[in-house]
Amino acid sequence: MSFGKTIIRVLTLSCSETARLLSASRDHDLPRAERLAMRLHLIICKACRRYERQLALIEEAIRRCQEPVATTLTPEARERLKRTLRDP
Amino acid sequence: MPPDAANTPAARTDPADWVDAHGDPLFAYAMRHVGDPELAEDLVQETLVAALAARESFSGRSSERTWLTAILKHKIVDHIRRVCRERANESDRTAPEPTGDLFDSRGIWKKIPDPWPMGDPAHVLEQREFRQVFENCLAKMPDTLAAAFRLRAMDEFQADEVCQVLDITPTNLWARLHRARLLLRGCLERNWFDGKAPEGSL
Repeated sequence: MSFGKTIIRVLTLSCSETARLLSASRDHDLPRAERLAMRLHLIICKACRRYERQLALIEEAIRRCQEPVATTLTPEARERLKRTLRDP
Repeated sequence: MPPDAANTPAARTDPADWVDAHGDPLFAYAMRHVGDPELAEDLVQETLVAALAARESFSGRSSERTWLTAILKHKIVDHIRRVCRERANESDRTAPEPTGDLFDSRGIWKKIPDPWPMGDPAHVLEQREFRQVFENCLAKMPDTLAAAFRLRAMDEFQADEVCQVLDITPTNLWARLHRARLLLRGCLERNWFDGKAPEGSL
């Protein structure tokens, strides 16, 4: 991307595009111009900064609750499984 | 019992013992990916039955747990594929502008994200109910989005693996994850963070 195009990209990036780039940056590397545009938009936009932090918080939450709600088989489920295996 | 009983090939152990030895870890693994106890139990059952049928071919080179987990992973992938195929057929394949309802025509947030309490995330997030709210939010999402998000976020699948499982392109995966994140954020805000933000939080 030429310098002029980069500048235009930086100056015209919208919140919806920023949100898309914030998500994309979690899945793959962004082209330099897009990364720069996103960073600059974040400097001026409180709403998108909030979204960025909340995405990070959500990922943190998922890492912390890797243990699912129910982690063990109920005694009944255990019996059902054993019966199935003994008499498949 | 010989001293190396833990390494005994599956072919020589009683399959019903698998339930006590591996049932809970397999169930927990399934729960992480599907979030529904009944479905998780079904998947564990399918896994053990498949293992029973195939146990002559179990070499004993890997541990019994690793072998069973690999079978379970296949069962989960098959399940997700099936669900996503059904849903894709049900709904129109031409998805609407994925974020049009959240941003106005100039691409500005229609409703600005509310501040969330940012004090100590550990305190907020380790509350048991958070997990339930999170699961409810995923359950409300279209299955194709929830599946992509689950596979990716639970971190056991790399992006290219997720693409393979769901049979989609990377671009499609990124679009789904983007949509899923926006929906999840909104849902968590309405059901968890709403009204819990103390003064001065971001």
